[in-house]
Amino acid sequence: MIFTESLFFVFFAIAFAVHWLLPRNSLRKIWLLVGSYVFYAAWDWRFLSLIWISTVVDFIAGRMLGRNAPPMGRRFWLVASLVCNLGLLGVFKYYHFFVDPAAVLLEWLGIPTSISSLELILPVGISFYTFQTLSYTIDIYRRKLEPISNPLDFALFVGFFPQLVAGPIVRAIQFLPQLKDKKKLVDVAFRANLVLFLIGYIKKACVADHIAAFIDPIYADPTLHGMHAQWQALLLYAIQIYCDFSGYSDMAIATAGFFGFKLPLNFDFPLMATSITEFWKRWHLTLSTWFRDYLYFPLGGNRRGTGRTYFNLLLVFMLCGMWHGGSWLFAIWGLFHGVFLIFERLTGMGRTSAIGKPWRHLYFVIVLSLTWPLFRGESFVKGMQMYRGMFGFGPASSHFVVVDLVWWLVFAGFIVVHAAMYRKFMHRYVNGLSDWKYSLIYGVGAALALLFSAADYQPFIYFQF
Amino acid sequence: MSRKDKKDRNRNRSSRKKLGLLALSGNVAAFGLTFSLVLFCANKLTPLPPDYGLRDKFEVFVEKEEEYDALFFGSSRIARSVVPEMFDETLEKEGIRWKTYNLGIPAMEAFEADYLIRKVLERKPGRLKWVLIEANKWDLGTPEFGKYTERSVFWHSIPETRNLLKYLSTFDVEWHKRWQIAANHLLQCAWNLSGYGKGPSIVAALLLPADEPNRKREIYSRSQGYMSLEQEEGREFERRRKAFIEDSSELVELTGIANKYVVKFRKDPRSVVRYNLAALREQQELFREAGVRAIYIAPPTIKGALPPPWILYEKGILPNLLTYTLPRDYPFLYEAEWHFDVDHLSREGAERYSEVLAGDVAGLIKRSGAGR
Repeated sequence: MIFTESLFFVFFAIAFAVHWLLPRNSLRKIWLLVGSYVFYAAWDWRFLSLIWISTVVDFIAGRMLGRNAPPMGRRFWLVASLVCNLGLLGVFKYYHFFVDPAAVLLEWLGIPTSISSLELILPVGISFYTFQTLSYTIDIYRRKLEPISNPLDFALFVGFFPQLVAGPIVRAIQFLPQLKDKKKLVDVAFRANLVLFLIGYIKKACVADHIAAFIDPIYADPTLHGMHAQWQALLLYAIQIYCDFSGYSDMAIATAGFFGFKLPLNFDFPLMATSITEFWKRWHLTLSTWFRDYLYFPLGGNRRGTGRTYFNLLLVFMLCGMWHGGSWLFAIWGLFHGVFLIFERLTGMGRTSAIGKPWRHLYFVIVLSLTWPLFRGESFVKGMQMYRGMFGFGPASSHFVVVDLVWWLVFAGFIVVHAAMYRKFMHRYVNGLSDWKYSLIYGVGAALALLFSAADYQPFIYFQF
Repeated sequence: MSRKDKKDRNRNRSSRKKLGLLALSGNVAAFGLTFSLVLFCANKLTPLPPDYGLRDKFEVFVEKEEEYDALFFGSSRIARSVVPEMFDETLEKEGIRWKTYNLGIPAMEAFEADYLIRKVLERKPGRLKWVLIEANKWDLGTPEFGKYTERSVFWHSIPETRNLLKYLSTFDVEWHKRWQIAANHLLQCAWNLSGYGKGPSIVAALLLPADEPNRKREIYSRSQGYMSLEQEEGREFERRRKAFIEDSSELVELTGIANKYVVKFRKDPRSVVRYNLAALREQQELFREAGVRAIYIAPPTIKGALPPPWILYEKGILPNLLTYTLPRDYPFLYEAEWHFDVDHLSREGAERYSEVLAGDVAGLIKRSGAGR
């Protein structure tokens, strides 16, 4: 079930209506929890057990960490939580990353191996809810958060359906206090949530899914396409992945908003950045700040000298890359970003500099484009084929990706609207509208969004992470 | 606080609530109004899907819709087998002057054809007096659940979907399967009514200049809707036809089987189940209202053949029926020489069949005294 699917609208209508009809907050929370599990089970009910394991282990670990136990005892429960969560993640996400090279190495050394080639399915959302629950135990360990006493509240924090499968990664410190508030329907910001949901829907169904139809054939076999097509596909891919992921986040935040919950911002116009440094202050904010707070700072951040700072940056970004999947390509993608962050620190590119903004933006677009083949490549060979094509070592064809004129118009329209939103023009305009004008315009917008939806909806790209 | 103040406060609160509800209803109505208006306009502007020449064929028909006396509807078994020029020529020899147009579309089954018939009749073409329809199956199957194609969505209008659901209710299938089929068609209908995914086709039809001269349209216009597989496939046709002529054992084998089974099923009441009786009756009503008469045809076919609906004809549900599915009655229509593949006639085969069909239609018209 994805947010742009008709089945989701049926699910949402039922979940929303029953939620607000229930008289007590506690009943609403139980209803939301049941709904969240149903939402997840629509993907694959078998993996609900993993969510339950994470929930039980971290709830108990949280309770134990909250006690006035000796440091050794507290450390034990933190390690238990880390081992359980990262263990599950390791098995389901990084099994092949570790086992396959080990098998090759053992074979090379002449040691007979009998490692079974398990075909593990990646449980959807595992990277997201694992990081969420880890934030809970780590914050309690650091005494920044009190453990929660109600297991149902904790289960809802882990399994809350709008952000369960693809974020934003919500920290316990942000979500748990909201469970205590008595929710009222009149407090729901309907206008803002409706607009946000529509924007997310348009990004995903009207832009990202259509781009997929144009560029997927290029990436199916990059060796067949020349330089022009490769660069065009790459630029379209940047728009696709942004619209796909930020579209999901927008819809998740809006959906949570309809139930009276506030989820953190995940994107802040990242494609308008003028450097890689700025990009990471705008792209997947809940992940980058998670790595900053739970890894970069504990490693010493930038307080232990220049060399150590650069090492920390490289390590954190390599791991951040690997968060996306168990492949060296993702690790290199992260390192690539880390290297450019260091470069920008050394040259001052990350800050406002003497170079004009358009030039800095051009630099950013080129650097970002150079990283995408690593992200999109699926395999090392394919990634390299994309690079070869981009630099003119592919076929000599000068064909561009065949994009219908209609879609050029739609994409151009999207870029104009996006720029207007970046400049907050839209914001001011929408806020200034009276309710009835807003409803009239929203009716047109919703109808146009349906008309221009890609007929064959694609799963969200970040579900695979 | 006095009792009066309390009362006033409650009254104020209640009137505020009423005003709030009124404003909410107004806003929902405003939303509904523009939302429906845009979708209504979009539905009016949506062209037919381009698949298998459906859009081109229909638009070419519309250009000269006032000229046609009769129209053919059905699948590739009509589209590839009826040459209107040959049909009209033969009829003329029998003293009947008709101009016909072939609106058969490959893979078009009965619900889709029914939709197209309604669309044509809504236009009230002045000369139209006859429709010749393939007696085809009313297939309840659609692509996998949630699979969107323009071709599967466009005909899911409210009447067609309602007909389909009524038909579904007469089937003896497991309840979960029944719900699955119903949900799938309701989804297709919802997509159709909501204009889902239709924007690009509308914009392209409205704004973009027409493609370079459309060869298909020229052929449809010249040949009254007929396009042979030779014309459509070019060299690929030669290759496939050659392969078929070299090994036509399947046709021979199936012809033998058909000779036995078509007769066996002639009176079999089970044959009725493949036909949507309610929809057929509704179709007859539609024709009566439009002043149009119908002839149902079971064209020469083997693989896709249905038990010919003789029983429906005998019961009077089908007013006129011409069947060609018993090979021994029309042996020449089942010879490899006249075929493109097992189920389709070549151009020469189609011309011969059109002569035969025209002869039978002439006889039927004369018998009924409705010729023109």
